[in-house]
Amino acid sequence: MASRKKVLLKVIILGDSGVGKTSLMNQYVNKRFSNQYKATIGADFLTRELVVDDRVVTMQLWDTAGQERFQSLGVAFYRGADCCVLVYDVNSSKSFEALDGWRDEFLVQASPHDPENFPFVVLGNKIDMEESKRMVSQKRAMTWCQAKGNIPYFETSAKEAINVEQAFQTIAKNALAQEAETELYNDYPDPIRIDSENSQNYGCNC
Amino acid sequence: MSPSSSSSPSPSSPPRLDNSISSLISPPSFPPTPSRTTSQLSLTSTANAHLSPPSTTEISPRRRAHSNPNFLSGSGSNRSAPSTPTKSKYVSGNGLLNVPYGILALRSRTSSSAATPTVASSSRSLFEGLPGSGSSSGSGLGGNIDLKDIDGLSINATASGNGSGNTTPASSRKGKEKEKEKGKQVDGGVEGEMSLSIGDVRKGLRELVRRNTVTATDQGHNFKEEIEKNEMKDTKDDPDPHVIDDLTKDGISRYSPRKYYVLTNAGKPVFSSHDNSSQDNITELMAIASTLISIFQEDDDKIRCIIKGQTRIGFLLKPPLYLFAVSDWGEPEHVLRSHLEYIHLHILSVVSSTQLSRVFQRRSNFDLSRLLEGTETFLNKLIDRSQFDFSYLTSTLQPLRMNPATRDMAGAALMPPSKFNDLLYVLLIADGRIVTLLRPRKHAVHPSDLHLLLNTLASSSTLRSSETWLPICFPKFNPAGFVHAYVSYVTEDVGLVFVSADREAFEDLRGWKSIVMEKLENDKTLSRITESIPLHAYTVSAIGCPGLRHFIYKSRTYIQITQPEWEAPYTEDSIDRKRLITLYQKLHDIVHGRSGQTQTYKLVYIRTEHEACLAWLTKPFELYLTVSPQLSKFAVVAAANTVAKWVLAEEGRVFLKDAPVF
Repeated sequence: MASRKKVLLKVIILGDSGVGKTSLMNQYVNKRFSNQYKATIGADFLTRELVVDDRVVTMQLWDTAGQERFQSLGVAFYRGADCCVLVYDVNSSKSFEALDGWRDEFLVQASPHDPENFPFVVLGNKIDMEESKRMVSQKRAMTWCQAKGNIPYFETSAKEAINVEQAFQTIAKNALAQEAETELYNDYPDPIRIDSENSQNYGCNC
Repeated sequence: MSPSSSSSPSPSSPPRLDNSISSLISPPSFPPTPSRTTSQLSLTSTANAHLSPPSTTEISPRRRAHSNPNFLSGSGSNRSAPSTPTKSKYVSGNGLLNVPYGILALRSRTSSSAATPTVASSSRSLFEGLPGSGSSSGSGLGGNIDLKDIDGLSINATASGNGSGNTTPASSRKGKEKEKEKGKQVDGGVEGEMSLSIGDVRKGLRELVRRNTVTATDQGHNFKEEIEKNEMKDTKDDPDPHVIDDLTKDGISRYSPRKYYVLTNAGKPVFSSHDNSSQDNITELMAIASTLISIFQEDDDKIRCIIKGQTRIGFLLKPPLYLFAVSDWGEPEHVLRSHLEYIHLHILSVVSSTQLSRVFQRRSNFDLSRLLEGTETFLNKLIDRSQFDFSYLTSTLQPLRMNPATRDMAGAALMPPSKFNDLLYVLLIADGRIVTLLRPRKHAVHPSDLHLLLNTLASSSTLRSSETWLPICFPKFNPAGFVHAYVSYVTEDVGLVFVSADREAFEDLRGWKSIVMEKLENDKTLSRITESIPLHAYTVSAIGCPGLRHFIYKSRTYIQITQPEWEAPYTEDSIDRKRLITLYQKLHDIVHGRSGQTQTYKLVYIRTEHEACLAWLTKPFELYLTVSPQLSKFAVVAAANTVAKWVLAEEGRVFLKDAPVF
């Protein structure tokens, strides 16, 4: 098929408040970074197009509010996600320890078809800060990712645009790998019998 | 000179309007008393109309029974009754929509003694039993009505419906209806430390919504009041008191192309039309829409529409799909909903509801847009058609206008042999219109299904140029599965469609087609049908009624409509046509109470500076007609009667009356 329509991927970004979810998204989509912190209310949406393995992909990024009081968008929000990005701040152990909770929350709410193989990506953000402030070592993070089924791990800086492109490229690629064609027309539906059962279709509701 | 005196009430004679118009009732009043529909015209109010206390702006015109029993078909009888002041009102149940209309009631001059018609359907006041609901009218106009100027005018409960707090049924209904400012508050950030004392995001969003709602409704009030004032002014200048507000005087940036959107319940775009913004914008918009919808869904609530200024965003939730439309036309809410319903049905006609739910059960992240690739043409065509084609809104058909004898011949030629057990419908189509339609005795045809089929054929020249075996789901017939349509255009414009439930029937039906063709050609039926095509359209002058500009006549018996061609000024894509169709839609809404009105009317007259329209609902038909605004009400009534009479005489040509069954 030559002229295939663009693939749309729904990507959910989760993580504690202030780890830089919105900044990463802004850096990725708008190439901008602001030091000013604005809490996201509820959710934010951005879109970016990219090419993965010769396929044009539109990423629909669903940025969530990390603050707990906003965490009740629930099923509707997570439904139908193609990839989930877990973000923590390498300078905050607490934000790293919260990843378990975020992952579980996602799996429960989104209840993906194949939870074992659902594509997650972990981003350790704010690596631009001085080394002395760093609280979570790369090794610790990678060990966790491995234990959770080899989740790809990236260390990023939204501020200095380190690894951001690469991370999102991987996100798209992994999501796309899950995106198999559903053969809708292969299973022919049962034929309709017009002589018997459809008596409820009498008349016209005009 | 009572023209109606000549109409003898024979059972076969059509309903007639009498020629004496008496009173104008403008919209609503809201007394806590039962009120009745003005279904059967015949208000007379010249002298004895009176206003009730200022706070409840109602009028109490007297009514008279109509002489023609047919006319009262709705109420079942025509009888005299004690003359009682009747309160007329016009409130939409949702308290949302109502721009005040002038509703003109016509009086019939009867030989019987003056009597109040016992009016048809009983309907109760929306505000019945609610203390003080009337007094909350925001208009403040009630007390100012000068009876000399406006004989029998009641004004606007709209504002009160909107603003009267949370105790009325109207408001509670509105509660369901969450008005919200469209937009991006969802993603609006709050600087620094947030001091919002809100527990979760839904509350936060609602907070934002509520703030905006207040604004929106306030604007609504002003807008409406303004119209009322204008209405009053207009009245002064007019020697004739029956003046109606202009519903369209705003003029500014109205009637931009409506935008339609379909998304999955995961927020993925499926389809959008007439949105010229970037694909990225649309993708983001879909995500926002799905979030808005889900906010209400979390509370088991459904968002129905958002109103912002002149813009209305209507939603239709059909999981796994969500649909919404944006319009500034000022149409009643159900119009947008009906457009969205058709879009949804068309999607179902391609995938069927069974497959749709199956695929989303399997994968909630399914990207339906790719499956529907190529369907955009059909959906866009459907949208284009639904903008002006009244047969969509009324769920009716407009068959080819032709000689009934030829129609019968075609029907006879198409009678299927009994061996086709699974045959569902047999259609002969000319120039995209039904010539005849055969069906099994026990299956009726739903007009919506036919619209989908006709639209599919109209959208694809491929389908019209080769023999096709088309799997299609008729969602009103059975949303679960597909039937198969054998489509063969025997000339450029004339096509045969055999719909069968048997997907192996192609060859059989193809063989049968040759037999049918032979019959159609042998007795020249086919060429007669072809000759009828250019004669289908007729101009309003055929009716011979000066001042009459356009009408739509719906036969309730046949579930079909007929209408003349649109003529200047209602040319294609003109503001005038858009305005007029919106007026028709408003009339349709009033007579059918589609916006949740507790009261419906059987006769409604609206006059604007551009035209005057009359809607007349009877048991056998609905008539919507447009005349020059200069025309006297006398003449309007005459026109209505003339049209009704003309259509009755033409019934055999304009309607498919006896569709054969097998």
